[in-house]
Amino acid sequence: MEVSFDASLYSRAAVANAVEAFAELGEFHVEQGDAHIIVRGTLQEGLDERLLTLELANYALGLTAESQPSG
Amino acid sequence: MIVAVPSSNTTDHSLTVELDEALFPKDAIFGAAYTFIDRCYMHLERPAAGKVSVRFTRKESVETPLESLAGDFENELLGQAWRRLIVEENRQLIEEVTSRAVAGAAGPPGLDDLLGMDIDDDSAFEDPLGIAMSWEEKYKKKGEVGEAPAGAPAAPNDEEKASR
Repeated sequence: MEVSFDASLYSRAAVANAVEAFAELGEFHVEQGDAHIIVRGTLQEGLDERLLTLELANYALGLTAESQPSG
Repeated sequence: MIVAVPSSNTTDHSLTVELDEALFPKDAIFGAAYTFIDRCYMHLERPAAGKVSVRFTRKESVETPLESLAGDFENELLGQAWRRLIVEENRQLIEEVTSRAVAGAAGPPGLDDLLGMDIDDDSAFEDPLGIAMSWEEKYKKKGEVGEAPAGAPAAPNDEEKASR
C-alpha cells in the first residue's frame, strides 16, 4: 500500500501518529519529502489494502484537524 | 468557488470537491472534513497553489448519495468559515472581557498575599489596602487641612482614646 499526504496540508506529527496507530496491522515506512509525506506499507495477509489505506488517511486527517489552532 | 468534480472511477464511490483556499481557510476545510469522517473516507490534496481538493469516498454502511454528502460538506464548510470569521472579528473584545473578569475575580490582596510579600526598607511603608490613612486625611475637604466636613463622624479626642 502507498498513500501520499501533502506536507502543506497534513501535520507530519499527525501522519506519524496515524502510522503508529496502524503499526499492528503491518509494516510501515514513512518518507518525508519537502512537498509530500509518503507512507508505504506491507499489510498482514487477509487485510483489505484499499480499506486500510482509506482508514489511515482518515485517521491522519482527524489528527491533523484536532491539531489545528481552533480545532 | 466550489467545484464538484465527480471522480472518473465511479466504482469506488468517490467524488472530489475543489476549493479555493482564498475563500475557505485551511483550518475551516479541515474542520468541515472532520465532521464527515464517520460517513466518508476523506483525503485532502493540493492540485495547484491556493487550491485544495477534498476527495470523498463513501463508507459501505452509508447509503446517502455522494452528491448529497458533498452538498452537506459545502454547507458545513460555509458554517466553519463563518464561525472562524466571527471569532477573529471578536477576538480583541473577548480577550478584554476575559482579562477584566479574571482581574476582577482576583480581588484585593488577602492576608496570605500580604504576609507573602517581600518587605524591605523600601516597601515597608507601602499601603496597598489604604488602611494606614488617618481620620483627618480620610474626611478632609480639599483646601481644608485638619477640619472635618459637617457629615463626618467626630474624631475621638485624647480623653476618649485614653479611656479605651
